[in-house]
Amino acid sequence: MQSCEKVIQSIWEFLDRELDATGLAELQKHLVLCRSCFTRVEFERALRDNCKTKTAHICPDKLKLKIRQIIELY
Amino acid sequence: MTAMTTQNPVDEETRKAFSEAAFPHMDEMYAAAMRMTKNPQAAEDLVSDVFSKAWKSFHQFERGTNMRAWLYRILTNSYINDYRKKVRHGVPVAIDQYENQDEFYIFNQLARQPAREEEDPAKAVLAKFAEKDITNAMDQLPEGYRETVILSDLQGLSYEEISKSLEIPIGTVRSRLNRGRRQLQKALWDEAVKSGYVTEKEMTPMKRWSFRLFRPGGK
Repeated sequence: MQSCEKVIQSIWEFLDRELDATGLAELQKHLVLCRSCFTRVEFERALRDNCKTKTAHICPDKLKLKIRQIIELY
Repeated sequence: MTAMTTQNPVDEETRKAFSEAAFPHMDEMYAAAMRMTKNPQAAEDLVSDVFSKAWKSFHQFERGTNMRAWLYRILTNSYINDYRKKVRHGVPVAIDQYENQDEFYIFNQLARQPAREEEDPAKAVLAKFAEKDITNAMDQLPEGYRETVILSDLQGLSYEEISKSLEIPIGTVRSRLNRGRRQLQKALWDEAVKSGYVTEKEMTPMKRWSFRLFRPGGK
């Protein structure tokens, strides 16, 4: 089984969905068996989701309308 | 008004093609603009600029290729050239000192916190973070690093898309993410301490594998 050290090195690549198929399979196999790495990965995922959610904003309707009008101008 | 002598007269087909390809990305562009400028008026101006520029150069866009990446390139170029100097508030901290810093600073710090009542203390801390804490932490990243981390962590772009948007090699994307995230973790932790979400006073020596945090019901 892949070592924890190796897994920890690939956590960000994993969360970025940039691991190749082999790396991904190895890591997922490890996470099923290793509680410590599993909790670490889950935390990093939760941290990122948290940052994403808290800074999310929807485009105001007024702006969407303004943009639609841009292509009518010329 | 820019003369468009090299462009064919605009027809309905072109308008339709542009609106179908580009308009679905309005929310995403606005979210990115808000994360970069942190200011609704600046974000509105920036997004308007993006779609205006995109429309003007649509004849140069190769239909069927990655519109999303193309729009992000226009967005980041516009942000860097026209907006960045005006909206930065924080004072960036030099990034070199973070090269050897712990990658998973927050997780490891939390593992040293005294045991708490909550079932999931880590989740409890995350829940306390407000938008301001996150943007304050982001503000400490130097130019280039901050945009790279925003595009990756908050906008979900691939390394390839980031590389195209910022016009930097993929290797540079990776190294900026590596250093930028280390710095961000430290900065977020400092915000948490400043805001009282965590305390550094009672920390115990670091346990190698601390399961106490993540064990519901004290199993």
